[in-house]
Amino acid sequence: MPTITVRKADLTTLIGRKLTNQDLDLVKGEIIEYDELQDQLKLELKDTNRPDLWCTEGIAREIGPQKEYAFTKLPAYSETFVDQSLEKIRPFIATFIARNISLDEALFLELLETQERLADLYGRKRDIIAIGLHNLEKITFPIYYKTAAPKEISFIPLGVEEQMTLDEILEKHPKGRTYGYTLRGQDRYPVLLDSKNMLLSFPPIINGRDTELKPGDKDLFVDITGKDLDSVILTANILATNFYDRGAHIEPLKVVYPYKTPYGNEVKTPFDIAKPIKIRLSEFEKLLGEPFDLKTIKEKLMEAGYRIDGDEAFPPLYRNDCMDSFDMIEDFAIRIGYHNFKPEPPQEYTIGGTTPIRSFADTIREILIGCGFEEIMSNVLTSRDELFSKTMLPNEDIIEVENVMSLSYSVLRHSIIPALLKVESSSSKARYPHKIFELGEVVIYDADENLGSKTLLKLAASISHAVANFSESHSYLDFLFQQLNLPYSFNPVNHSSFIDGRVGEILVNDKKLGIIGEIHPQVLENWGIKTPLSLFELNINALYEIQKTYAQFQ
Amino acid sequence: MEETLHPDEIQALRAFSDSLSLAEEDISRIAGLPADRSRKAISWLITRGYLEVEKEKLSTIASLTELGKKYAELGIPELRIIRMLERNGVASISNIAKDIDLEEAEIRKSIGILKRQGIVQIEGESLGLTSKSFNHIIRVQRLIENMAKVGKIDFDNLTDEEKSIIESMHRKRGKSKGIFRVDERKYRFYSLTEKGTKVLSELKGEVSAEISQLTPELLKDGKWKTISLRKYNIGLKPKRIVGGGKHPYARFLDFVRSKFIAMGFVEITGSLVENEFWNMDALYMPQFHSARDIHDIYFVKEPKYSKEINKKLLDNVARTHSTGGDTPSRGWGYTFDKNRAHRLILRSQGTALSVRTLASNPQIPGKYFAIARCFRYDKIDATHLPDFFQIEGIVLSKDINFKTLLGLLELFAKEFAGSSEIKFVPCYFPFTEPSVELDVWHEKMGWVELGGAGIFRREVTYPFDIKVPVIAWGLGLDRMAMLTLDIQDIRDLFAPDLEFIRRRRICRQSP
Repeated sequence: MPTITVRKADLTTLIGRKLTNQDLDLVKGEIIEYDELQDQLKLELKDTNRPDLWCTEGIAREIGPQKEYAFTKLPAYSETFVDQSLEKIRPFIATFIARNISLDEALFLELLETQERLADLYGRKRDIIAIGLHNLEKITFPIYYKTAAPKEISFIPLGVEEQMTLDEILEKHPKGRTYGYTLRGQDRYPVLLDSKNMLLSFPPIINGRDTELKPGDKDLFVDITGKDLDSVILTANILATNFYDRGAHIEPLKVVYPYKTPYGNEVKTPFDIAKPIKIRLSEFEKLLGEPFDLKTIKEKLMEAGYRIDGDEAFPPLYRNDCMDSFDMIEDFAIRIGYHNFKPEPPQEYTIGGTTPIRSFADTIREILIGCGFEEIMSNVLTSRDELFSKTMLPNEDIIEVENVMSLSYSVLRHSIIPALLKVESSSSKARYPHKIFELGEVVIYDADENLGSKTLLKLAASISHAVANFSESHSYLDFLFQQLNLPYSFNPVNHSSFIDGRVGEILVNDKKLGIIGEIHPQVLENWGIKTPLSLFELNINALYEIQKTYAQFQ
Repeated sequence: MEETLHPDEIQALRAFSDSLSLAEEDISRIAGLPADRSRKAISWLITRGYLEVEKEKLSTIASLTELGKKYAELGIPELRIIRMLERNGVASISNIAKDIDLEEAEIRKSIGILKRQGIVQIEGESLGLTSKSFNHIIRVQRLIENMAKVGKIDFDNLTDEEKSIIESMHRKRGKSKGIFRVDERKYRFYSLTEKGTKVLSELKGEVSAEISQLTPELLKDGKWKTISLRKYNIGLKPKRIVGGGKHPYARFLDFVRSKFIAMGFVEITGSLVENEFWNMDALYMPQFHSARDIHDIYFVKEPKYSKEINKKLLDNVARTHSTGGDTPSRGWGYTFDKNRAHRLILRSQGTALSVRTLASNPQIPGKYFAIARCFRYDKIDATHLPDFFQIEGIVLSKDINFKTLLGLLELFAKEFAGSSEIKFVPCYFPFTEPSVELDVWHEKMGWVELGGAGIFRREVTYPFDIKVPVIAWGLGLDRMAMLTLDIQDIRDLFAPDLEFIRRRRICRQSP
């Protein structure tokens, strides 16, 4: 979710009146902070599919009175010619001119922020779209969008003092290092030149020094390059509308392609790509739960910037998020105001319930709590260190995270035993005896499973006090199985987490369901636990299956 | 026993264990009661009809006089004279008097007795032992010594010889100088009635003044009736114990679960490892769009891809993303990467379970909920856990619309926050349209965002052949859980500190 800072006075001027709380509903925004001293609002904008709202102009446009944006109908001032070699590299470009804008320091900085935000979030780190802003005065039309070999051209990019080749920029320039990934594997790079062969930009990396935009400049040339034509055009439309809202005069430029695009070989930008949506009263009624008349619908949609033509609604040119009529109906509902709809609770009768395994698990929790055990809860994400180094569980494959953020939370637990030991290791001051358990999810690596793993419920219960031993755990396990009316037996095994000769697999009908034993002093030492500890762990899913079979025969 | 006996009565009764008939003194002695208490006990027992006066009897009682008591200690003069003669052979009477500290008159009287019995002979002033047979004298001395120990003896308990000794030696030496005293006294003897015998037979075991612990044995044979339990100081601090219990957060989630079930929702569960298809693609979150940026996902290292996704469903979803497929939508307009759909991740949102439910023949009308553990790639701090529970679900019905969506949220506000003051705020989720956020007024927290909801886009439902509207909702109850559990740092939901957990298990009013 983008967070933006707007100057409140600036916003008020653009809207033409004071901002109300209700206004924020229109932009799905929330004030996180108000800096009284600077008179600045920090806003969080929830609609990740509305890049037009990520700036002061966009917010004001949504809230204030609607304007007509007719500049797309103006004739092209000049051309931008695209070279064939770009088709497989960065095929699309939109260009336009914005004249007579008063670009003071504050607005200039905001403009750069808007540019970065669009290229970063909407353009996904400049891969899908990137924006270049230039001082128009320096440029001689027409413009040429071409490619160059890595060492073919050198120029002074913004931010440094010396000439650099394209290769050097990718290697050394901070922007090159950050965004060079978008050109990886290419043997030619996109460049934007004017008629005098002056380099305007090396998209999507950096602009040239020659056309650098500075506060106080009046006339702008804007280029948007990218990999998706709709995204490129939409960005041009948003920026052009923003400049227009600030009083600029927009002049379109014609982009001439040597290859086919969804909008033909010549695309004049800004370009209205809005596709009409049919207004069906029945659809409004069905989705919103009450009927509305066409007049109201048209009125409200026009408030939201739609252009109406008969029974068709055209979303505003700065939006491209209306894929289905539902999107338009929501816009309408927001304009009506959610508080104006009367809530009606669902009337239909349904029978609630949980899963059989959950009920079974709850029964087991109940039995253990009845035995005086205290329930604990832990994270499912844990570490190899806790599972293997400290608890010394036998080595086996587990599900690990590829993009680790913290080693402490880098694998999914396959056993609950370490969770109990973790509690014991930080609870030596809690009154003894300790009888604790957790019944929760674990994930077992299984290459044969569709998802490479199985999520199961396991139970682990431990006892810790000065004379805790195997037989005490055994007693509770025995009681549990007695309550479940199931037979069980032990099979002595070797297990690195337990004391040799005091550990066994728990079997029901020769099926291994778990483990019981006294924890090895080395493990206790690893965890810094100073009292003896015995425990058992059971696979609850497997136990449930067996119990179900038994129940059928009884 | 229908009547409760006083412990003294019980002790008095118990005195009859070995004797059929006892005098008051005997009862007092055997029962170990002071005379006054034993007298009282006897009179109560008579009133109850447990004891009766068996007989009254005149008894001849012998006891020692003061002189007798002295003789018991020093020996009677006869014996002392004999002992002296044994030591010295012959002695003059005056010497004897000097030697054994007796008055001469008394010595003479004794010598007279000894002479008559042929034990000594007198030649002038000197005295000599003639016989060594003086058993009778020794028996007299023994009787005296014995009586000194016993005090009083009933004539009935004496041998004929003893009787004759006493009779021959009392008052014979003058009123005050006699060794024995003989008195006649009237005694009252008591015995058990039939009722008393029965009661006694029911009283077995030791009588103990006070017992602290009632035992199974005492209860088993009725002995508890014979004891008195010590009074405790009930104001003392007890020894502290630890009881079992649910984890406070688990208790909260159980409460949430029970609420949903009560509202007719069915619980759904699923795998923690999920593929991108179910976690995002099926929810119409485009593979290459910023909408996907709101999710920071944990990717699985190995294996990287799920084996299969139902081909028809995968095709439907792929076409919907690209062109809208069979829906009225125009789609996102990009080429869907089917391989990427298989990429394994850790489930990032409970909605994955909801959309899986859409694909597995859900009930219509139907309501489903999940308390789903989810994972987010985020810095771990006071407000972010690496894995946490999301409470999400869906409602399917042909009669669902925006107003029923609001109605459901209003119901949730009432059920989970006890709040009737609510706000509906426009919101955005990539898979719902319209979308709404539910804010509720909470007494302690003020305005709180309780959840988000919406009606699934047709791009979500159509690929699974669900043609009725579906409400999708999610509730953020963590802040409420934290308030209930009195914690400020969300990481404390899973704090591994038993003392911390115990303190927070203390029952609270709500929920």
